Amino acid sequence: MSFPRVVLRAGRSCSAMPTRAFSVKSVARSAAEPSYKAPALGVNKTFDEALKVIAEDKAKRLADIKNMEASLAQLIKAAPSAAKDTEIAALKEKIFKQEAYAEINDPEIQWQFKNNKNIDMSKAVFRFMKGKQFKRETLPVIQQRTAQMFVTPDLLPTFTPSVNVQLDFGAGSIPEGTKLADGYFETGSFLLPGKTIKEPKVNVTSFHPEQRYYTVALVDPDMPDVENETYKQQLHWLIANVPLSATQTELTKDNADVVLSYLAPHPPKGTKYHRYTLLLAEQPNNGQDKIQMDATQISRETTLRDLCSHFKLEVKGLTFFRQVWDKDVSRIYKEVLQQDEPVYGNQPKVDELLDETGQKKKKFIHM
Amino acid sequence: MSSPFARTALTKATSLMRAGGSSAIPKKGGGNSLNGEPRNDLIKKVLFDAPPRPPVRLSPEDMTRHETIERAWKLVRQQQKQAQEEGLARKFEMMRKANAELEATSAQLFKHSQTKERHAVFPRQLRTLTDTPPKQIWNYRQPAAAPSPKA
Repeated sequence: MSFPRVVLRAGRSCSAMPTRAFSVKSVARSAAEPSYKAPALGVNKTFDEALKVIAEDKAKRLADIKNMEASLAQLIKAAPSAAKDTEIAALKEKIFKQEAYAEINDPEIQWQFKNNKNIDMSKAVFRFMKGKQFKRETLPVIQQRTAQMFVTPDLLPTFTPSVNVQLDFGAGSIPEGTKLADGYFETGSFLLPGKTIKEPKVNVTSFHPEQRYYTVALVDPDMPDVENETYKQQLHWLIANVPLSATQTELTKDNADVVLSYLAPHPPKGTKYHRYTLLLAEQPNNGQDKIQMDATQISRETTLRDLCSHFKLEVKGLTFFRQVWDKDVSRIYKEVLQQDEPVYGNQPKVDELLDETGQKKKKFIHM
Repeated sequence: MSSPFARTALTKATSLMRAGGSSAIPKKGGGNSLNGEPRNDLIKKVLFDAPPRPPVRLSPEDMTRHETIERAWKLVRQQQKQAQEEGLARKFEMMRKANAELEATSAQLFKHSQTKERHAVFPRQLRTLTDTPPKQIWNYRQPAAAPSPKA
């Protein structure tokens, strides 16, 4: 099939006038190929020329990267100065971008990314593309939900997440309509208490190739504090020294320190929905320092702000889900917590126009 | 090659021109056209009667080719723009160096180079332009005229 003189503009939707409909659509969208099949050469000459242009550009960029790496090596050896660290960081950023741009135009890489197959996060291209996708698609949703539910001013000062955290509570835990394309629930979704009794799998998409240590915490900021007539935070889960990188995405308890074991979320009856927030905080010195958390220092009542300020943690990732009382919560109180289930409610309303006996208050005294 | 106005059986019935109330049979001399202009009929025909062009359907292989071509073309335009910018930057740098050297050499000449004459006027000796110029515009072989005696 050849289109000798047709100018193709992909992605343009038809205008209001029916005569001007002109769009490029692909046939057979449902057919998912198991592996990449390079388009045959010799069919479209422009395509062959395009491949040459892309190859030349790649060669140029790789040569540029070599020069930059040489200058970076020299810069590292040079005498330390005030601007040296920023210069090194800027140069590393440049090298990363060139590595990404060198391969981003390759049709195979584009296919792999689109179909989510063989994505090797150790390659700069995929880290770059995933980073862009996160900033464009996921981040606005997280920020909007977080702001709308007041998660950030309540727990922490407002910040921009730079790491993508997602929770997986197993099959059937996500109600229909809130499931995202990648199988995880949308930030802020309502989950059933019966499905969150067991601890979830935590999937972290970070964009740094080197390993950094993180602290994971699951907080409930909406537990009622009756004495102070306010709400208090409860730490449901706390794990320190979790090693994570672009290639290491799953949280495994083997190489991390569990400070507080997972406690099933249990929103009591009579309270409004609880926002169970999972945070990912980077440990000091760019995630290179390990921290010792004493079980004596930390309790389930520790607030997040205190925790972060004491251990100098910088929160990088955030996700949350909401829950409301269910009959399963009663079961959790009985079996898991082994406590009496509290039931909360409002104080009975006092009618100011009636006295203790229930009669209308008398205006005049009978003399 | 079929005419762009070729209609299928479906579109014939839903012709907007017919709905507008104009006659099905085109009359000669523009008898039924708006303001007596047959061109308006043609305009209406072009706007409302021509059927929509169907979207171009590409196989996944062709789609990949199309996207690769688009990327390569963007790259080429980027490279051209980059080359242009570099050329301009080089020219600017040469100009800047020249000005710096002049400033170091002579302050008066430098000032003269950086300022414009405010009371400049077009050259008064300019020949007025004409549609019928003479056959000999300028005599190159004529020796220079002797300076006129001043009173």
